Amino acid sequence: MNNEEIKAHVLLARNGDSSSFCKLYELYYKDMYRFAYYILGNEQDAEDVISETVLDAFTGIKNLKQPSKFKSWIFRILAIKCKRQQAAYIKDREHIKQDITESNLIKEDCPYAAMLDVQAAFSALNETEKMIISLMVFAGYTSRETAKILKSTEGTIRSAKSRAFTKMSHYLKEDFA
Amino acid sequence: MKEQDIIHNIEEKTKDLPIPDSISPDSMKKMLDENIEWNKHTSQSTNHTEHSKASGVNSISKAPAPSPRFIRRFTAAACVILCLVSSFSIFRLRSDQHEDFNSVDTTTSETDDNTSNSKGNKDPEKEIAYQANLQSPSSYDDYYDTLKSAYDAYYDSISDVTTYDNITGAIEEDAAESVSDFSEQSGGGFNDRSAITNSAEMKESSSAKSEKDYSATNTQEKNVDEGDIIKTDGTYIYKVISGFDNATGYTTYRLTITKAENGNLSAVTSFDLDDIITKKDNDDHIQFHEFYLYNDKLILMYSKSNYTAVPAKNDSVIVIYDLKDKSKPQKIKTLTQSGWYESSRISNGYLYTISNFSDTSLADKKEYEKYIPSINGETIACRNIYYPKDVVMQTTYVVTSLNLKNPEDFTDTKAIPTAGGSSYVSDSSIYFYATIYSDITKTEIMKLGYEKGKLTVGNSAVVTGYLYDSFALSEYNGHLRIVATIPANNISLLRSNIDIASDNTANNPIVEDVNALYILDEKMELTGKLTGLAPGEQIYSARFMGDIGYFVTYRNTDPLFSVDLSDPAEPKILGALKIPGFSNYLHFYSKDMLLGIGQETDPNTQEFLGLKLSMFDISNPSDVKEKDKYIIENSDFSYALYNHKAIMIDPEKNIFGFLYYGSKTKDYQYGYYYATYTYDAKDGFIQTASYEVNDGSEYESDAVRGLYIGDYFYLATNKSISSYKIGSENPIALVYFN
Repeated sequence: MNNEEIKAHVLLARNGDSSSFCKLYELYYKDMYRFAYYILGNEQDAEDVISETVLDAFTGIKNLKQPSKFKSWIFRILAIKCKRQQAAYIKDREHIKQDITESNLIKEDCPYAAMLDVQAAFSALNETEKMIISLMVFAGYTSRETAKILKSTEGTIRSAKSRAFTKMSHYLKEDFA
Repeated sequence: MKEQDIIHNIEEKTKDLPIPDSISPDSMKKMLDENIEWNKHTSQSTNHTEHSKASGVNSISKAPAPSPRFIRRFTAAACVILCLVSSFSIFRLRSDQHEDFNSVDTTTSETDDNTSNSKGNKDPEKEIAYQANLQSPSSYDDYYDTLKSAYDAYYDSISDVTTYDNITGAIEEDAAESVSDFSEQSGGGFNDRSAITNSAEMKESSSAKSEKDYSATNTQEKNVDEGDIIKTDGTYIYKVISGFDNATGYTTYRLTITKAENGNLSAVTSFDLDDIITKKDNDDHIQFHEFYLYNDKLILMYSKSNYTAVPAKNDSVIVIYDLKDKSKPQKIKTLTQSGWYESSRISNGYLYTISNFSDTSLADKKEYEKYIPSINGETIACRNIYYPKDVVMQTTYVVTSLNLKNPEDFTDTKAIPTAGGSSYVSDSSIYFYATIYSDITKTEIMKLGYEKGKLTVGNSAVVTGYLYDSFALSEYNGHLRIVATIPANNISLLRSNIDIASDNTANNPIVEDVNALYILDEKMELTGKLTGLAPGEQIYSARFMGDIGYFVTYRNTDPLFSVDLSDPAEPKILGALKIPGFSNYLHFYSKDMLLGIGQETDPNTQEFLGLKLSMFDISNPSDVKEKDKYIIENSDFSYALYNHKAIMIDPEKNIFGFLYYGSKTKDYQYGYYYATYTYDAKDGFIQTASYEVNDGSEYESDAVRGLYIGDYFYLATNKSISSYKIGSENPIALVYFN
C-alpha cells in the first residue's frame, strides 16, 4: 500500500469505514502482535491489548491529524496499553517469570523453540528494556522516537538498548552460527 | 553479537510466531462493526443515513445491545486519547484556541470559532502572538469543578461519531494554497547583501572570559549554566556514573569525586545515589538526570518514580550538597516538585527547574495532591496555578526558582499549562516550545520571564514550522529570533514511516519543505520575518551572535545563511555559502571565525563521507567563506552532532574535542575514539591527540566526556578517568571508579 492509499484509507476510516480501518490494521497487526506478545509474555493478554487498541484507535481515528502517522499512532496506543498491563503485573507479583522456566523445560520438544529463545531473551529484560527493544525491533522506532515516547533521552535509550542486547545475546547465541 | 545481528536474529525467530485468529483483520472488522452499530444507536447526533453512505458500513448488520465490556472499553478509549495528548502533546483534540490560529484548519473544520480572534489570518507562514488568557482558580475545589466538568464534557463529546464532509477535497485545497504561497515568497530575500559591521557583543564574548583555566560545560547561552554528568572546579572532577542492578533491573547511579592535580589522579569519595533517597516505599526508584556545581555546592537533579501508585507518582528532586569537605559532602537540602524532570538552568545565582506533572486522577475531589502539583509535599497555592479556558488535554509544567546562596526554600513557583516540554532559556526568559502536528506543522511557544527568582507568565505565540532544536531560538535585546522548517505535507508523509529515496519527491515543486525566520518582541508579537527560505531543504543548525544569525540548511550542499537581524522589523539575508555536506553544530570560535561540526557528503550521491570540521570566515557576514575543512577519516557517528554538552570546547585556549565512532585506518576495527583538535590560521585544523576508549564502557559511550584543567586533559568514561598532557597520547594516570 503506498502512502496515498494509506491516506485515503485513514480518511475513509475517519468517516466510520471499518473495512478501510482493517485494511490499515492488516499492514501492521503481525508486528503489533509480536510487540505485545514479547512485552507481555503471553498470548491471552497480547490478544486483549490488541483488541482494546483496535477499538480505541478506531474510535479515536478522527483525531489522527496526519494520516501518514497511522503506524506510529497505533503503536503508541498499543505501547500505552502494554505499559498498563505491565504495571498490573508488577502490582500482582504472582506473575513471576514462571512462564520462562516452563518454556525452557519444554524447549526441546516444542516446534516453536526458536521463538521461545526470544521469549527467554525477553524475560531477561526489565520492563523498561522490554518496552525499548519492542519499540525498536517490532515497531521500528529510532532511539530518538523511542526516547520521546518513553520520556527519556536518546542517550539513555541507546545505552539501555545496548545493555538489553548484551543480555539477550546470551539466549540467542547458541544456534546462531 | 552485533546489534544488527541480534535484531536480525529476533526477526528471523519471531516471523513465524503464530498469530491468533481472534486478532485477524476479519475478526477485528466484525468486532468494530458491532461497536459502530451500538454507537449509532446511542448517539443522537449522528445522521444515520449520511453516515452509512459515507462509510459504506453495511447498515443491515445486527445491532447488539451495548454490553458492559464495550462500555468499559469506550471509557478506556477516552483515557488513552487523554494519555496520548498529555504525554506526547501531538494531538490537539478540542483546542478551540488553536483552531483559531491554525488558519488552514479553519477552512476545513466546521466553524466552531465563536472565540474567533480578529488576528486570525489565512497566511500559513504568519504567526500570531496571543495573550495567554490564563486564570488562577479561587480554590482547589473550584479548580476540581473546572477540571471535572471539562473532562466530563470531553468524554461526552468523544462518544459521538462525527461525520466529516469533503475532507479529502479540503486537504488538497490547502496543499495547493500553501504551495502557491511558498513559491510567491521564495523569490525574494536572497539578493540583499548590505554590508554590516561586527557587533560589539562578539568582542565582549571573547574578552569576558574569566581567568579560570579549566573547561566548563558547553552551554547554549554563555551566562546560563546547564547541568551535565561531569563538572570540574579546577581541582576536583565530579562525575555521576551509572550501573545496572541485576536484582531489581533498575539503573543505579554513583557520584564520584576525583582529585586531579597536574595529571595525577586520586579518588576522593563516591557514593550511591540510592543511599540518599529516603525510601518510603520499595517501589520508589530514581533516575538521575544531571548535576551542577555552584560555588561550594553540588546540586543533583533526579526524578523519583513510583509506578505502583495510582496514578503513578513522579517527583523531581533537587539535592544540594555542601562541598567544603570534599571527602565528606554534606547534604544540606532536599527539595521536591511534582512531575517528571524536564530541564533546568542556573542563571545569576538562581536555579530554575522545570518538571512535567501529568499523572493525575480526578477520582476524589478531596485528594488534592492527585490533581494539584505539589512542592516539597505541599500543594501549590491557587494564585500560582494557571489554567486556560480550554483546560482539557493540557499538560501542566511546574517551574520553580531557588536562590542558591540561601537555598532554604523555592523563591517562586508557577504551575502553567503549556503544550510542550522542550525549552530554551535565555538570560531573562524560559521559552517552552512544542510542535503541533496538523496539516501544516506549527510550533507553540510560551514565554515565562524570570528575574532574581521571580517568575512572570508571559504570552504565547504559534509559529508555522517546527524547530530542530533549542538552538533554533535566540533572545537578544528583548527580541526572540526563531528559525523554523515548514515541512511539505507529502514529504513529511513519506518520511514518517518509509525510507524512500527522496529523489523524485524532492524535485517535485509541489512538495517542498521550506524555511522561515521570525522575530518576535517581548509580547511575543511578530515584528519581522523572512519566508520562503531554501525551498526543499531543512534547517540543520543555527547560531545567533548579537545582530547576526547563521543557519545551515541542507539538501545536496550546505548553504550557510547569514542574516542581519539588527532591524527586528526587517531581517535581511546577507549571504548564502554553498559547500558540500552540512554542519549539525555551530560555535563562534572568535569574532571572525565560526566553527561547524557536521558531516561531509558527496554532493551528487549524498553518500556520507565522514564527520567534518569546518571553519568559516565570518569577518564579512555578507561574504562568508569556508576557510578550512577537515574530514575525520573512517568516522561514522558522534554524539557531538546532537548533544552540545558532549563537546569540550574552549576557543580561548584553542582546544576542542569530542567522542566519535570510527576506525584508525580503513582495515582497523571500529571503535570509539576521543579526539582533541586545535585550529591554526595557517595550517587549519590539527588533531592533537586521539584516545581509543576500550575500557569496556563502550556501550555507555554517551557517558564519555573530556575536559581540561590547566595543561592536562582528562578523559572520563562510565568506568574510569585517565589523564594526559594536552596534545599527548601517553597516559599519566588512570583511576577506575569502584
